[in-house]
Amino acid sequence: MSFILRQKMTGTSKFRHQITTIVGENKINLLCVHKNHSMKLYFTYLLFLASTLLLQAQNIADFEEFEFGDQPFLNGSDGSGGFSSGNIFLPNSFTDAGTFTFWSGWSISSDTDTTTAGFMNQYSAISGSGAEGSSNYAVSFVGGGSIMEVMEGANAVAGFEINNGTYAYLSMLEGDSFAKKFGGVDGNDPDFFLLTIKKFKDGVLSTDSIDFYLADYRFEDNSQDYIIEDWTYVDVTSLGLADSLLFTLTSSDTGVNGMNTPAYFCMDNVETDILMSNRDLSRTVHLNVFPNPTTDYLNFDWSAQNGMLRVFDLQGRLQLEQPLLAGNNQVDVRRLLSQQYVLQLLTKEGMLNRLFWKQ
Amino acid sequence: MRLFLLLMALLFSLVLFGQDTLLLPSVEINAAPIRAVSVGSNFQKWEQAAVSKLPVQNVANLLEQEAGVFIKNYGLGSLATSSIRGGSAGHTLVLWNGLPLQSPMLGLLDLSLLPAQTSEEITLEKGGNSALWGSGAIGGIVGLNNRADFDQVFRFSTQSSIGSFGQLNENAQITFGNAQLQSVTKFNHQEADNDFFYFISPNLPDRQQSNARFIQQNWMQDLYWKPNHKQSLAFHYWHQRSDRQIPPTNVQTRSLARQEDESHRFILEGKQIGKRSIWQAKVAFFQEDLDYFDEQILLESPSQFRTWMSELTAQWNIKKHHQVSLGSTQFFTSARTTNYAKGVQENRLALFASYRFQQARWQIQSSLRQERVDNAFVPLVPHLGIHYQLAQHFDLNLKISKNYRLPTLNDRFWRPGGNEDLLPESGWSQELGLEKRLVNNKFHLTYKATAFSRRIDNWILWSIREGQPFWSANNISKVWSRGIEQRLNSTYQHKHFRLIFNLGYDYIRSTNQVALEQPKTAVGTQLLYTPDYQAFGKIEGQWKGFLLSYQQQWTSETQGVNQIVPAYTVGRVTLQHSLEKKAWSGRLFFHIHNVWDSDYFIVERRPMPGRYFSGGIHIIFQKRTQTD
Repeated sequence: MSFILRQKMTGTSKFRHQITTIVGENKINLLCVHKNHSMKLYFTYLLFLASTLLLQAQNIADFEEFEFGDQPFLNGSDGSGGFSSGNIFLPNSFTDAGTFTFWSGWSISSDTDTTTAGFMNQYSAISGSGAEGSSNYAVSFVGGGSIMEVMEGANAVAGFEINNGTYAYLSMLEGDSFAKKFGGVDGNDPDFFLLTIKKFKDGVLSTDSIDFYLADYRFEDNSQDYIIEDWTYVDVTSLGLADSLLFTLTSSDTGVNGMNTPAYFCMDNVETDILMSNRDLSRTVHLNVFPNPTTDYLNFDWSAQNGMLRVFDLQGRLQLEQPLLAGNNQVDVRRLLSQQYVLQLLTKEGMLNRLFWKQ
Repeated sequence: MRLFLLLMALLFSLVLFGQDTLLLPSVEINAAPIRAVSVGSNFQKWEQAAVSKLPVQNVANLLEQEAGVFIKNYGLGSLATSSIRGGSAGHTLVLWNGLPLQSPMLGLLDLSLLPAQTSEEITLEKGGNSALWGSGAIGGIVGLNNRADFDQVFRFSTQSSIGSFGQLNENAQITFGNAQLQSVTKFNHQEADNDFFYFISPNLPDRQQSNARFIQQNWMQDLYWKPNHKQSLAFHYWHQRSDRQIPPTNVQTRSLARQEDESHRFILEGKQIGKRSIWQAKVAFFQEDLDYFDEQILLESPSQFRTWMSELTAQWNIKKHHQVSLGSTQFFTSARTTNYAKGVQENRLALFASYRFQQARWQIQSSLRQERVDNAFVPLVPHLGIHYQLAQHFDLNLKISKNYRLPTLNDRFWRPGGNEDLLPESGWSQELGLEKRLVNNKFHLTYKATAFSRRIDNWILWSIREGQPFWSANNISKVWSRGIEQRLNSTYQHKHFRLIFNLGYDYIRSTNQVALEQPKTAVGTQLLYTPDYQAFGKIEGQWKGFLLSYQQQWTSETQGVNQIVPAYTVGRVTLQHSLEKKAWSGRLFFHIHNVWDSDYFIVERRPMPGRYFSGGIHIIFQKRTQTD
């Protein structure tokens, strides 16, 4: 993330400020005119902008809505082809040949077994629960790569919690008949188990990626070697807009038949940004907010598509949130304290910010 | 005579009847004399008495130490399979009295489960000979043969030995009978803890192997009846039970896995020798259970197969130099495991013919085989073998054959990944051998060199295919194996002193001819676990009852699944002292294995033990029961 501040004197005692925030390929502009400028105000703007990026219309997929039958997992045997939660869809490929079943992609689990090694315990996370002690989580068996689809209404993933599955964790910790114990015979092998995340946008796979080590034994000091065993947040906002994310696994323990380390990882609390500004609408959309200052209501006509309307104070704290409708909109600000606020309008097409005074 | 033929017909009809009720029984053939000698082949044979003096416990040890065969050994007491002339484990056909021992489910046999001393004769024929022996006879054929000598002697022998890592080995055998009847009972018990220490690194203490204990027992009963010189009947029964733990790899903290094997094998065979013909019939039933357990990963995998076999061969001597043999084999196999959709069955029926011409300097043998598996015909396979005496003590051998290996039941029916559309692996092989002997009354030297080439198409590999998320069996590779084998065997004898000096060297390239994504394979790369060269040497001195022997074996590096397995060399020392007194004879023996305490691996991540010892006593009592 970077910021660009442009300042221009527009009158005898007025300054025009434009702060451009750049995140990846996205830019967010905030324009305002002040009688005085001060460093305090700039910091306020910066805090606000940073906050709006992190808080803008996020949705969390925590998989808690799924219910289980006799088994503590859903592996696609119902032929659903995947699992929807929040604003994501996790595809599942399930093969039922009568006498054997086979799945890849994603399953949903509430398995709590953290001690049984091997394939028979493929659905459990090593923490024995979902993130923050929740019940449910997603498990991925990565064949060539697992896909997470970003559903209509969202256009980016902010981040998620990641953990090792028990099968992979115990395999790396103790070895099994196929895979090695990480560190090798004497504990000095520079082993790793790496999750790589890329995005698809408009059918194009990104060259940028985010790497997350599910296990890392490459340290000179072996005491620093680790295998992830707690849910760990992975921020993927830098990937920007995405139609889907691609997850692949690589391991140092690889032979002619491919990777020996079990190709599993677990995920929970997937945060998606419902709407994320990829362009500044202030140049293309005319917005007349009135009255400004106001004592009770803000009014404006909105000619673009539906979206979300938010009001932040200058410390970046969300004060109001309501749907943004095409046509006439009215915002009740009577409960707000008397001070300056930012009105933020979010749509798929982009975002637009305006300052207003509550008296 | 009529009675005997009726009996043979009855034996055969039993199987034919089973064919009606059990669909089509299938079999493999063997044991007609024309097949006992394979013209043009590189052939070795070990008698039981000789094997008992060697530092070997099982057939894997014997082939490795005495024949220079590469044995892919997962560790002391663990799985051991062979690679003969660059072939896979399934390319070695193992026969017990002429009938295949291989698991039809796995297509291979664990040679560590075959005790070396429970057969009167062990043979090794290198190179393919599917025309005579059928599926799997591509790299070589190992034969375990039980036979009677009708020498009218009561014989009892017991051989007991103990060794490092809790080794205990007991062999006992009782033989008795007269000129018409003979009974041979054999018992073998082996056990070991195999809790040896192996090297980790200079800064760390050696690690002790765990979960490596094994117990194996074999009980074999042979009954022979020879009412006259033209007729004979034999019954063989072999019960085997093995319970062994599967040790962890050196990059695995622990293992709780274990494997139980139990088999019952019955063979009934009859032989009728006519004026110009030999008729032979066999019926057999083999049942084998293999149960794998690993409570650490909650795995229990039982499996069982049953095979009914029948074989009928007839041989005619036509004039002085010509022999013709016709034969039929039938196998009916049923197998079950939790990984099959249901119990599966396989019917195999094969017809073969063989012709042999013999003259003073020439021997020519040509064979042809046609096999049908279920409703599909395997392509016709021919064989031509020529032996020609170039000069006195100078021979030439030539063999050309087409050979095949049928897909195993696991290849066909395993879920997931089994492929019922698999084709047999097949291809042509050629070999040319020269043998030169120098002989005088004190010195005997044999030099033998054999060059071979073999191409196998439709090589079956398990891999993950495009668009398929699980492993499956497919005909995806072609392999070209070629090389040269050399053996120098010499013996010098002077009065009570005998000196034996043997050398062997094999150079073998066995390369993939197709580039594959998985397993990751480039054209021209050597097969996994196939050394480019092996060499071995042996020097042995014998004086009166004393014997001192030293062996050294070299094996070049091999490519493992994950890493290169470094080259290794291992030495062995044997010291024996034999005594005889009237009806009693005895032998004390002591072996030092891996005498130079090498740290080595044959299979990556599976450490082999350092120096270890074994020793014991062999006692034989024999007394003639009848005088002529």
